[in-house]
Amino acid sequence: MLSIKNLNVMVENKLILKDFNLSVAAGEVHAIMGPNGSGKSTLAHVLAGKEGYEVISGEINYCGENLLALSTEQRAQKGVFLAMQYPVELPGVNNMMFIRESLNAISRARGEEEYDAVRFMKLIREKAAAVELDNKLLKRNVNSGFSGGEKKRNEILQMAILQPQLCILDETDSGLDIDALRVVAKGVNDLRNKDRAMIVVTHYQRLLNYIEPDYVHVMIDGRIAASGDKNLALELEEKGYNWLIEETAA
Amino acid sequence: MINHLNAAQSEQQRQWFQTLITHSDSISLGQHLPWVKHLQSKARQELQSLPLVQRKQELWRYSHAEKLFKQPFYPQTNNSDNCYQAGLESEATLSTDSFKLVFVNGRYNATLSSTLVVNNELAEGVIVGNLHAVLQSHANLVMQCFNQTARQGEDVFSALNTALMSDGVFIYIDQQVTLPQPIEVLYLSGPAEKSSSGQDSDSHTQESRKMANLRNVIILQAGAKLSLIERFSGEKDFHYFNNNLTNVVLEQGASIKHSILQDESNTAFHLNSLFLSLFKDSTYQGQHIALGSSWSRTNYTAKFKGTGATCELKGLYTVANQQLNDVHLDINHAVPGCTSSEFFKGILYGEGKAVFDGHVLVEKQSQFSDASMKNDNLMLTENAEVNTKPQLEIYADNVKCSHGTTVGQIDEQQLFYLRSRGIEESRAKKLLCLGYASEIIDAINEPLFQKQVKSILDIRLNEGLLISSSEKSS
Ligand SMILES: Nc1ncnc2c1ncn2[C@@H]1O[C@H](COP(=O)(O)OP(=O)(O)O)[C@@H](O)[C@H]1O
Ligand SMILES: [Mg+2]
Repeated sequence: MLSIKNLNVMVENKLILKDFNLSVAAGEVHAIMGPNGSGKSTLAHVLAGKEGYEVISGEINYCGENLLALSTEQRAQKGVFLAMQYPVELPGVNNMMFIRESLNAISRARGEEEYDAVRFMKLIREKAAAVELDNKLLKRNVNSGFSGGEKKRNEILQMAILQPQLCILDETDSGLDIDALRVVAKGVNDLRNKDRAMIVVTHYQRLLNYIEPDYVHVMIDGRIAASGDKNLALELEEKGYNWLIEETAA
Repeated sequence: MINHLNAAQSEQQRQWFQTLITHSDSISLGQHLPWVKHLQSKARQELQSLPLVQRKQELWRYSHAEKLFKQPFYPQTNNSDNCYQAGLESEATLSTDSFKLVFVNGRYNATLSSTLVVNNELAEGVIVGNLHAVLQSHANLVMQCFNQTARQGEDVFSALNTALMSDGVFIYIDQQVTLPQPIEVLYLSGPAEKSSSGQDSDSHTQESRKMANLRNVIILQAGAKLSLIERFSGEKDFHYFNNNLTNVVLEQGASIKHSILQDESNTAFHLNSLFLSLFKDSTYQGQHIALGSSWSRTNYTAKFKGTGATCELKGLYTVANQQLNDVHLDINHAVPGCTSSEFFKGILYGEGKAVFDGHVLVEKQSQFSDASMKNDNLMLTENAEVNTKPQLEIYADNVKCSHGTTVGQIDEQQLFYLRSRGIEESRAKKLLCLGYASEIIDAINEPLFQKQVKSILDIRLNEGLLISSSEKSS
């Protein structure tokens, strides 16, 4: 589904991703771990098409297409979803209206029928219940006055409604208490199927107790320094990142 | 804008006003009444000596008005052939639960107005009608009200309005009377119905560029309550100039909710001067939504004349290419213990221009005043331009005052968030603009009016952001 080859990305004249390679097939869940500043969010943003990242070289193929040639919204319409590390507030923009706009923009682009108010209400009520998001938050402005955990749940709610092909979760677990973590993990596990791929960026091994990854990669200084299965995550938990950092530097 | 007019420019501007005056012979508002005649001839004289429009004048320091004086206008006269019809039915039926006065091209249209208004039978202690009619039925009352509001607006356009006033709205509400429903005033402008006799394509000859000078007088006696909605609306590409002047007097404890929607034609000139007198414990709650016009200027002049009064103004404007919107506020805390707050938000795109010039004066004796003034601008393009200057001039020492202004762009993080959810860029910008405007729109407390404003704002944003009809649906 996704193949990243020799990707080099600069941010403000600084090389952040360095000859980065990653392949993700449908049905797989990849965890990406790594210390702060190693380039995890940069990778997530480049996949979603955020501006301000300069791709120097390399390629990204998504479902047979050159992902880098698509606009941010086209990527979303074709099934790329990024749950943000820091979801922004949208003053004056109603949450429910926003999610419906999004769903219908994607439906329109795919030539599918748009959701009328009744069908949409039914859908969002059901999905909000699944991520244990208070209905009151649907009526508020997007992320306005939401707690950290509520913001993350709202991301998972959008993911559940939009049903993307490729889900990228950028530290969705950071700062969550154990209950919120469980809800987020359930949201991810509910979506897991053979057609869908997931990239779960996390700082802590903790999340992987709830979401069992097929692969674990450790990212250090813009590269994947080690790959393995879930045991690699346990090893990192025990030993920290330093041994890998030293190995990379050597 | 030139700082000082040279002799030729001054001459041209005087001439522009003079031309209007000399073409106004057939205007006959209350000409049989000596006091009206006197008022008007005095204003004509003043027009020859009042300072002209130029930057060195405080009133026009940040404004651009050259565009106006480049075009001649002709006063709307009573015998003008004037049968604009298009769209009138739908305009007139938009809301059914309000009392309505309708002016078409500056002339009162009794057919489209509510019969109750025409018959003056709204409620006990309430006199509502077009000025022309009320001058017939209640000449003395009108005279008293005019005397009460005289000597306001000593500038050329106010004088022009007085000199040429042809009609307007008159509302008088007696002590302790509350009108249960809003009064709605519509000002519609459009070309006369095209006759079959051929003169169709050039209906925009200069002779047909009409100017209307409507004069509104709104008097609320002690404890009276009113909700008033005014809407200016014009047909696309129709050229005209509305020069309105409104006097509002709020006696002790009276309160008014006053909403104005300026959605004039894209080629219109619009000037609206409002003079508010607030006596003890009275409340003025105003909303001003300016979405149309090529050139638009709104002057609010509020004077506190009794303690404990409140004046609250909220405004929204959008300007696109070829549009100028100018808001001029002058708030005078002449007595202690009053509250004023003004908050205007603007959305600018293309080469749109906006001016916000606000001035709050707190006089020495006016302790315990509470004054705040704020203007925010959202710039969607680099070529849009805003001149914003909220100013406080405070001579009392025990007061609570604040003022501020912001000029910002669309937040890139917010835009990315929306686009990453599949929403097209222009549509995403529109959602952010609507969100930005909601602070003002949500405060509108007449639901039907709020709906109207929303739907017109929607159209304006689609135009401004070049959203094609295929992307519009949601
Ligand atoms: N907008 C930006 N401007 C400047 N530097 C940035 C920007 N975004 C990221 N960086 C830099 O890129 C590096 C990688 O950051 P990031 O991708 O956020 O790492 P991670 O998500 O792994 O913590 C860091 O050194 C960070 O300072
Ligand atoms: Mg990060």
